[in-house]
Amino acid sequence: MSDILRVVTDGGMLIEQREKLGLTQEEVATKAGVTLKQYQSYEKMEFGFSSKSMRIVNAVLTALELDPSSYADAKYALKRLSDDDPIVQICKQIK
Amino acid sequence: MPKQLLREEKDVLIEARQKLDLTQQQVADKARVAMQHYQAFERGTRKLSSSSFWTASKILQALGLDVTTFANGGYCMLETNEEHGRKAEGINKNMKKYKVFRSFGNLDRDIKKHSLVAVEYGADIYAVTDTLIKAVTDDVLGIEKYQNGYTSVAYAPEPVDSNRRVKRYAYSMMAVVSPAYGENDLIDYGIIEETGEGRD
Repeated sequence: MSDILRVVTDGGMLIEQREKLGLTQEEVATKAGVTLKQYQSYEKMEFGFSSKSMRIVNAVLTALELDPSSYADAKYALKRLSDDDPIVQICKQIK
Repeated sequence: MPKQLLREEKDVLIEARQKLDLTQQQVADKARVAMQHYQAFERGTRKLSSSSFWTASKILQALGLDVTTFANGGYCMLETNEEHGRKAEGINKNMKKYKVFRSFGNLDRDIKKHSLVAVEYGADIYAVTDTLIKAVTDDVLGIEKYQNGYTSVAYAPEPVDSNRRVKRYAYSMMAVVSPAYGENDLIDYGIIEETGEGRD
């Protein structure tokens, strides 16, 4: 792991986790009990998903196997880049 | 698994706040919400579960409560299996709710400042006597000045005399705290009895 951190938006967090689990937007929406349109709007959010109601945020995070407490602690907001990430390679070259 | 409502949200907040010995203002400041806003949650006129995740999580964190547990009803619900299901149903229909308040020694004084320390459910006062005694003795020993080497006993609840000054309590209990050497302290506890109506 490199020492380079990347900021993850709320939408980015949802998209990355959904793809990691191999789910479609529709599947997540159904699991969370929201409409597809609603769910799609969450994936477009930068920061502000937490202004949605507790019930919705909990349902969506749980559907994606994410932990609401960790989200509240902003633990998903930063991601450490792996060594083979192109950005890390570029940074190394600059150094 | 069926889930059964055991406590209201506002009771969870009040209990957590009093356990941390914080005022409403201190919680509001910690959570960065307006005092009136926070008070509405404790009155039950607003609900954390239907407010924004952001606000709710700030308040829960200020009270030392876990966001995930709360969001999944962990503080208000009891998970029941088939066998316990029937027992839990009894809680709704017939059981009474007993709220235990700690006074500052004498039950008749500073009544408005008494703090809620426990909520128990039972068919009647006799059914909860053991749990109430445990709740009271545990509570006494949780007080900061009684942390080291003190022991406590509590008397079973007694009906509050109608000629007593304090009117809000149905029962009172007395806790005796004893140091290893020296004099005992006596602390009165008041108990409010509520019937199960209106809960489901």
